[in-house]
Amino acid sequence: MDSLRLKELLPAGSDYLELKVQQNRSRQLGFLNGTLNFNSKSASSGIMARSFQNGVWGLTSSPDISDDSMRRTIKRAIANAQTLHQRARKAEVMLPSNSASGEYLFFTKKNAASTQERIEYLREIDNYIKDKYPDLSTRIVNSSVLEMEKHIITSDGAEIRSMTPRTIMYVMMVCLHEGTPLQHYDVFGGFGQWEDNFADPSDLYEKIDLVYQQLMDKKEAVFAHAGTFDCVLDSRLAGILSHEAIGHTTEADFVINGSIAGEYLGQEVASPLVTLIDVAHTWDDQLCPVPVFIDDEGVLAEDCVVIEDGILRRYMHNKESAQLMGHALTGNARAYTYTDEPLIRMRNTMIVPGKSKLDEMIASIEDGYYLIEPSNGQADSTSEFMFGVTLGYEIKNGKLGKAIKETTISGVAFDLLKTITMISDDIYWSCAGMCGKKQMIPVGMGGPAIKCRVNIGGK
Amino acid sequence: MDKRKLTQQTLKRMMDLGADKASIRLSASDTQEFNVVYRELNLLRSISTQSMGLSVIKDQKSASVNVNQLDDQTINGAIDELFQSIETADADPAYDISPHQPPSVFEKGTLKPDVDLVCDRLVEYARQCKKDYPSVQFDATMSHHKQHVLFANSNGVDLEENLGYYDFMSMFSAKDGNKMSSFNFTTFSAADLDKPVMDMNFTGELIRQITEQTSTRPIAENFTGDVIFMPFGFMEFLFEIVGNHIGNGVMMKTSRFPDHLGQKILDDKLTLRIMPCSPEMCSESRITTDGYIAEDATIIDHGILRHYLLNLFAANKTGKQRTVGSGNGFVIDPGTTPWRDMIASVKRGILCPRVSQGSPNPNGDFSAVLKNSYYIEDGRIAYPISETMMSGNVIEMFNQMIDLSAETINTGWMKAPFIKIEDLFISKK
Repeated sequence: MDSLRLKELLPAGSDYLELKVQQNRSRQLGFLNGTLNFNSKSASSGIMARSFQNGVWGLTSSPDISDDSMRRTIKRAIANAQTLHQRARKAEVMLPSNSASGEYLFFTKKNAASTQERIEYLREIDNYIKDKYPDLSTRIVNSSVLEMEKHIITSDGAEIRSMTPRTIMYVMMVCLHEGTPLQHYDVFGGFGQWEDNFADPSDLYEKIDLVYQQLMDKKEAVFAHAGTFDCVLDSRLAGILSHEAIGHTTEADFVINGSIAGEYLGQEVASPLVTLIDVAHTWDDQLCPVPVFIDDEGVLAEDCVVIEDGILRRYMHNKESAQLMGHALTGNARAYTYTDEPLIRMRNTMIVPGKSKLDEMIASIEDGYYLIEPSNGQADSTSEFMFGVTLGYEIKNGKLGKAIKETTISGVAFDLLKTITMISDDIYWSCAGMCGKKQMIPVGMGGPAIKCRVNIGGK
Repeated sequence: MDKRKLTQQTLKRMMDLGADKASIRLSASDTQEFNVVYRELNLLRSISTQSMGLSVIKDQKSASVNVNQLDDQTINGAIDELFQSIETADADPAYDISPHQPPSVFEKGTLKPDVDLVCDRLVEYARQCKKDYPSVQFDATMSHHKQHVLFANSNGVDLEENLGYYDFMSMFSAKDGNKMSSFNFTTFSAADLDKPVMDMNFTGELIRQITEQTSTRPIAENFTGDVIFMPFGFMEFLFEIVGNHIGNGVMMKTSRFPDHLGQKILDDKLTLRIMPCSPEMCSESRITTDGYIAEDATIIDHGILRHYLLNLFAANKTGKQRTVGSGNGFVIDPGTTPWRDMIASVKRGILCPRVSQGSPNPNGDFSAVLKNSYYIEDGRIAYPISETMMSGNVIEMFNQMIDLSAETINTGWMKAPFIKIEDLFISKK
């Protein structure tokens, strides 16, 4: 497939057209209490054509990737746009363009690991846990690989070939404490294929020991007190805050639909310590968890500095929202499967690290909490957010105290950002972020730890 | 090639290559989807998908693979991979396939959609929304979904299903000057489009509520009181019980009720059924994921546990009998009280259309943000609230049910009434 052929197929009257061939591949291997009980592989591929005409879109997808199917699919996408035009009767609109071309195929450069080698790796991890921690009632060691391979061409001259892999391992432990199950887990890995993430099982032992230690801490866990406290949000929580509570409100489709951030452009929305960026692909000379060089509309992907020194500067866009708002393109349009239309999606959202040390931040709190591990998170167009917290500790007189039971934190993110008084100088990227806005899609969430005031649900 | 022939041929190939047991699920779907974006018609999607899932058991080892290209090369490659995968797998006596059942063909819902009507109903919704609630911003999607499934296994199971239904989803919020509400949403499937969607499943009421929620305030003080959950607000709690305590959680040993069949585990006002055979459960399949013909059943009968929701593997793994599988098409029996009368009986409490919550821990403890909710005092809705949390224990909640409404919503995959729970702790910021 090449641009020349697409242009040959492009009939007169279509303002914009894109054609995509995509394959998503996944591989799941997992042990439940020492037995390989999850052993599956999946591949899903197909084509998608999307046409923009007179202000409306027509999209058609098919699993048949033959030449004939491509022609039929393009024809039907154009027909769908025409059908919708008969109903919508919108004026002609020209979409903006910042087209780019490139090839971003992140296949590993290391020797491929066989399925047998991967299973043995996982078995070794499981054996380590079983031998060292025989008191656990349930052990789960799962690995999950997702590879998204796309070839996209657009009528405004973009062409992209990409293969973006993610490999993660999920380790969960359950123990019984006074007749009640307690559980804890962590996720390892991230961007890259298996070989890029998992070489020697012993590399993970220290992290696994920490999962167990934190599970044991939960045996003595106390309820958090309900109310608002000075807290240190570990980088994992700060990352999900950046994504869910700030990021979504500054996606232009949310803004057009009335998000609170629409009122704040150019205004102070956070402490001057805060700069928040949706990074396209590279931060500090390192590839981010979800590197996007060209988006699924063929637009050159650029970093979107959403908040700069506390001032709201910019929203994230696809072609349509940029046209509607008269803003520059950012390259945030992405789709998950071959059947999906590109939506405005974050890539790698983070608060820029500050100058403080985590220890200093904890030491500065007399009565509060150090909140570490989120479970899930949801946010609102008002920037009101809720995150489940599966791991946290009391802070008493500047020192860590007992673990707290699972709880929920909530608040209004733009209020919370104004309470930030310290930002740590390190950065952590969550390796397994998935965002579910109509379609699921991998995202990067990261950043430093922040000190702020947070509302905690408790007793 | 004819899909039934392809299914049987592929099954035979897996057995010829040495499988002890094998199963195959071949599915294909077609969707016509109209989208309203930024309050205007914006996108028409025509989506075709297909998928073939293959599973093999050999020497009590198991592997599965899923492909969506159905040419010989892809299928043969997938089978080869299956057998390679089996070699490296572990044996587990829990692996099995469903036993022989009578060959059956199921058909449910609307298989020949009126596509114009799909668009008409969506346009009607958008017009009504803009006319009656001009402050409301919304996106909406309406589609028709058609699915064909063939399931076969080496025990002679041969099942076929044709399923057709309509889907509606809308997300909305309101803006009044520079004040704005939280968003809310509704999503459901329907067997037909006989009624405007605004009249279905309290959609109109939810949108009317959102226009009031541009001016909210926190509650004055923390209190313990009654919460009336609208059905959408209660679903997550129900799925917590289903998943963690009477479903897979039994296998994962996170269940609080691991050996409680026939025992009273929850409030006697709760009767929970699965009704995949009901035409009302229009998007629910008659073929279970583990290859059985799905059946209607009462899971919790006035608080008494009648069935665990375990698929064949989980049942074998736990040593329990598989009875109805992992369950789909959940129905909570309604009560007799009109939902507005439930409010009248509340001294101090909350009307909760939606919650935003972290996953409860295995003990059932949770805390959640009350979204789109109202403070109730002396039997009247007082005002819409913001930044208010609720905490409690899911299992205790299901033992503190005071009342269930006569009205229900039907999402096509679940049917439930409003549910009133007592003694939940409500806290302000």
